[in-house]
Amino acid sequence: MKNKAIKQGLNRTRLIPYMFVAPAVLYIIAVTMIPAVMALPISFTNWSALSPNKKFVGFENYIRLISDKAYWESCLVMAKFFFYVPIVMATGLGAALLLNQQQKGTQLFRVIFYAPVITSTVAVAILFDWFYQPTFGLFNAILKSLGLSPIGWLQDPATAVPSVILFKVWKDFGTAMLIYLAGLQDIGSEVKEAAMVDGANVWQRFIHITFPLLKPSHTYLLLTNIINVFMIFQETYVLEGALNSTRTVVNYIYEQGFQSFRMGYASAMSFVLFLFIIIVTIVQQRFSKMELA
Amino acid sequence: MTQKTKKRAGGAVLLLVRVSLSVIIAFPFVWMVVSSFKTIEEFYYLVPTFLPKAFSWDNYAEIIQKYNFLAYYKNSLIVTAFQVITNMVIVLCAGYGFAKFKFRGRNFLFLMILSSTMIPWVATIIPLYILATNLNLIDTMAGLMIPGMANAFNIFLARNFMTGIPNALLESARIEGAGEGKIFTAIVLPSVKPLISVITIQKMIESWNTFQWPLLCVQSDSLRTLPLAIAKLSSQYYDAYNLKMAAATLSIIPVLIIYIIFQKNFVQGVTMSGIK
Repeated sequence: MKNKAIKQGLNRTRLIPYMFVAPAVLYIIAVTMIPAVMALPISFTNWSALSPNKKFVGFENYIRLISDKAYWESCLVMAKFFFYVPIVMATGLGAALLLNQQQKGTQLFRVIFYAPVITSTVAVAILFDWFYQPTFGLFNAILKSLGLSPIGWLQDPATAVPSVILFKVWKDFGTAMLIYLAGLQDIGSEVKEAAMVDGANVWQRFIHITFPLLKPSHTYLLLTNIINVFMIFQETYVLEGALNSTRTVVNYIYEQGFQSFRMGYASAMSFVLFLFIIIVTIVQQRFSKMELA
Repeated sequence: MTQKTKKRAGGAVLLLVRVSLSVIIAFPFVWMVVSSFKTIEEFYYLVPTFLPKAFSWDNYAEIIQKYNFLAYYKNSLIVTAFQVITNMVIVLCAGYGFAKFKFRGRNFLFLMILSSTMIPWVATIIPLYILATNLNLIDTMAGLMIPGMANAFNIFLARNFMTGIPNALLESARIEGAGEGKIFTAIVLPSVKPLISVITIQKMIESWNTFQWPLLCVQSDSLRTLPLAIAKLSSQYYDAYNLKMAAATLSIIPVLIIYIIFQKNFVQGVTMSGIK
C-alpha cells in the first residue's frame, strides 16, 4: 500500500515538468512544426482551395516556376530591395552614434527615434502612400518648395522600389539603432580613451576602433535584415508601385495562392524562398557561435 | 576659444542635430493626426497647409458610423487581450519548466521550440491555411486568434531569464511542503516581474499590429481587425484620404501612448532579445 502511494507520488512529480512545458510544446507543434512538415508535400500537388480534390503532380509546380516570367520579375524586385540592408544599417549606426552620448534628453530622443518601429506597418504605409502622391502629396510639395522638380515616386517604376526603401528605413532603423547602442555599450569607453591618449582624432577612432569592434552587431543586423528583405510583404501590399514594380516574391505568392487559388504552385514558390532563408539562417548560426567561442 | 566654450558649443550642435532629426522622424505622425481633422478638399491643395481650416471630428464620426470602425476596434482589442494572456501563461510556464527542471526529452523539446523561431512565416502560412480550412476555422474568431497565442522567441527569453532564479529559494519552499503550483505563483512569478512586463508589451504590440494571418483567415466584415480594416478601406475607397488618416490615427495613437508610458521596457526587451 505504502509503496504504491510513494510510487504514485513519484510519478506525479515526474509529470510536473511536462505539465509546465506541454502547452508551449503542443502549440509549437500545431502551429509551426506540422505546417512546416506539410509545406514540401503540398508543393507537389495541384491544390487549389476551390475544389477539395488534389492530385500529386510531381515537380510540375517547380518546372512551371522556372518558366514563369512574373516569378523572375518578382525575384528581381526582391534583389533591388537588398539595397535596403546597407542603408538601414548605416542609418541605425549613425543614429546610435548620435544618441550614445548621455546628455540631457538622450532617453527622450531614443524614444522618438524608435517610435516608428512599434507602429502598424499597414497604418503608416497608408500615410506614406499619401505622401508619395505625385500631384498633391507632401514629398513633391517639399521638393517644389525647394525649387526641385517633382518625382513620380510609386507611379514611376524607376523610383517605386527606392520609395518603399525610404519608407522601410524610416519605419525600421530604430531596431538597428538599439542593437548598435547595445554594441557600443559593450565596447566601453576604455578602448577609446586609450586611443585618445595616442592622439587619434574622432574619425580615426571610429574607423580603426569603434567600427571593427561592432562586428557582432554588424553580422547580426546584416543577416536578420537579409531575411527581412526575403519576406517583404506588408509594405508592398499597401505601397504598390506602377506595373508591378514593387511586387516581391511574397506578394506574388499571395496573389497566386490566395487570389488565383493556386495553392500548390504558391507552396512551391514559398518552399524555394524557405530554402534561401534557411541558408542565411545557418550562416547566421555559424557566425553567432563563432562570436561566442 | 577655451576648452570649456568649445565643449559647450559642441554640445549645442549635438543638441541641434538631435532635435532636428527628431522633428523629421516624428513629423509623419504629427502630419497624420492634424490631417485627420481636415476635410477631403484640403487634401487636394497643391500647396498643402499644415493646420486644418477648422478642426472637425467628421472623419472620425464617418469611419465609426458609416464604416463600423468601433467593431474593428473591439475585434483588435479582443484578439490582443486574448493573445497577451495566452502568451503569458504559455511562455512563463514553459520558461520555468525548461529552466528549473531536469526531465527526459528536455533538450530535444527546447531545441524544437528554438528551431521553430528560425522557420519563417512564409514557409508555414499556406499549410496553416489548409489546416485551418480542414478544421473549419477559417473566418472564425478562434481561427483568427489561435496562430498568435504564443511567441516562441519569448519562451527562449523566459527560459534564459528564469535560469537566474536561485535554486535554494525553490528547494526551501519544497522542504516546507509547498506544492509546485504554489511555488510557481508565489515565488517564481513575483521574482520575474521585468520579464513579465517585457513579454506583455512585446506581445501587445505584435498582436495589435498583426496583419498577414488575419488577411488570410478573415473573410467576413464582422471579424476584421484594425490593420485589416484599414487596408480594406484603402483599397475600396482609395481617394478617401481624410478617412484613411482618421483610421490610421485611431490605430497608431493607443500604441504610441502605451509605448511612451512603458518606454523602458521596450528598450529592455530589445536588448534582452537582441544579440548574444
